[in-house]
Amino acid sequence: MRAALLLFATLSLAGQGAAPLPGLASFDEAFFAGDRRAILEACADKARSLKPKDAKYLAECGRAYLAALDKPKAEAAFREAELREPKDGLVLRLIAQGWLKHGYKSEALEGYGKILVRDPKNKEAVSLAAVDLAEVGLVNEAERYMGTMTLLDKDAWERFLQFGRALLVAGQRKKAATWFARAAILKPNEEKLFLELSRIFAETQSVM
Amino acid sequence: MRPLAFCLLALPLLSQGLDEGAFRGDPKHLAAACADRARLLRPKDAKMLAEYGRSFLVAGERTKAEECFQAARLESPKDADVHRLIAVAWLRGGQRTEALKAIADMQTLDPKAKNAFTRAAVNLQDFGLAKEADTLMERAWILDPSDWQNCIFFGRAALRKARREAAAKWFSRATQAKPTEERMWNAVALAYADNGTEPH
Repeated sequence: MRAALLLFATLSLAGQGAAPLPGLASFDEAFFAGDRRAILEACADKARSLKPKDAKYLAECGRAYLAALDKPKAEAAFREAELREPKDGLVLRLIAQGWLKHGYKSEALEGYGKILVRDPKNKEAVSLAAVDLAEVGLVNEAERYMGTMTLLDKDAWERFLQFGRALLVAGQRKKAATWFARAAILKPNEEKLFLELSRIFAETQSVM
Repeated sequence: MRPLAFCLLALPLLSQGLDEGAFRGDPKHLAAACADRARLLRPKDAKMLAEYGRSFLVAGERTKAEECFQAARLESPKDADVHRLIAVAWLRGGQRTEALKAIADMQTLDPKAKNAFTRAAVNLQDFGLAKEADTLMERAWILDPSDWQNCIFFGRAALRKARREAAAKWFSRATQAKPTEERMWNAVALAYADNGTEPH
């Protein structure tokens, strides 16, 4: 009897012909060539339904929901990620980056600020925050984070190059030059440094 | 005698002093100066040699570039990625024939390098050679249809070139390869969120 009820319920749902329910979407070529928001939402729903153990994935799901213009679901995913790993600077950075990429500046700055409070010694998270902010032209904020990073590790030449590249992409050539020179002074005999510099200048010509 | 000659050659470059002012100069010359400098330090790694070649090509120094490519090929003749990097350099320099020759060499000399094939297919697509990219990606997929990461990588590149149908084909293949993998669903969602641009 219960099986028959379930079958009727399923049939009536399948017969609605509306947008597929999460988990029931047919992820074929036609689906992926269709509406972008529907794809974003369905893939993020699917990822969440698999109960991700890693808070970083939850934060990324949140970003996908923001791209699908579903702010409530994004906030829920961000909240869950933050609850799970409240002191992980990389999770906090992913949440802030999600806001930043979709134009929520104040939410983003608040999110980046949490890194400095809760995981202030996480060099990677602090320098990635600086790079994110530089890339969107928030140069003063970016330099503040990079300054903090430099206090944590004054020899981080690879991070200096990454930050310089972000400044270059944002059209800040003079400021980028400062960080490239800083890296070159630290490692004047490091082949990888010069290779990376040649790569950066070869690849970013179009933005100069 | 040879070390002395090497030192004499190196001194003027090392004394150039790449300071802040230098880094504000002409990007093409900077790319070549940095490649020159890097080459002087340890010119043995084939991939790095291929990348120096790319910087020389950007700077318009074709002879130096070809020397680097030749040295790279001699150093690691059967490394698919070396041939791919050479192809990328030619693509960036707008030399399609030379690029396709390097791609052909890659497939002949390292015929099972599915990851390098995928990366090369992405490079071809990024430089507008969609048909060649599709053919190469198909070959990579035949080598391992269960590799969802490669499908996503190529689909992402198709999205950023506004090739929605090609992207759909590869995302669909990725979901068929590993439907229970949360990272895969996340990666597809983020590919659409970013319109295919590469994350860092």
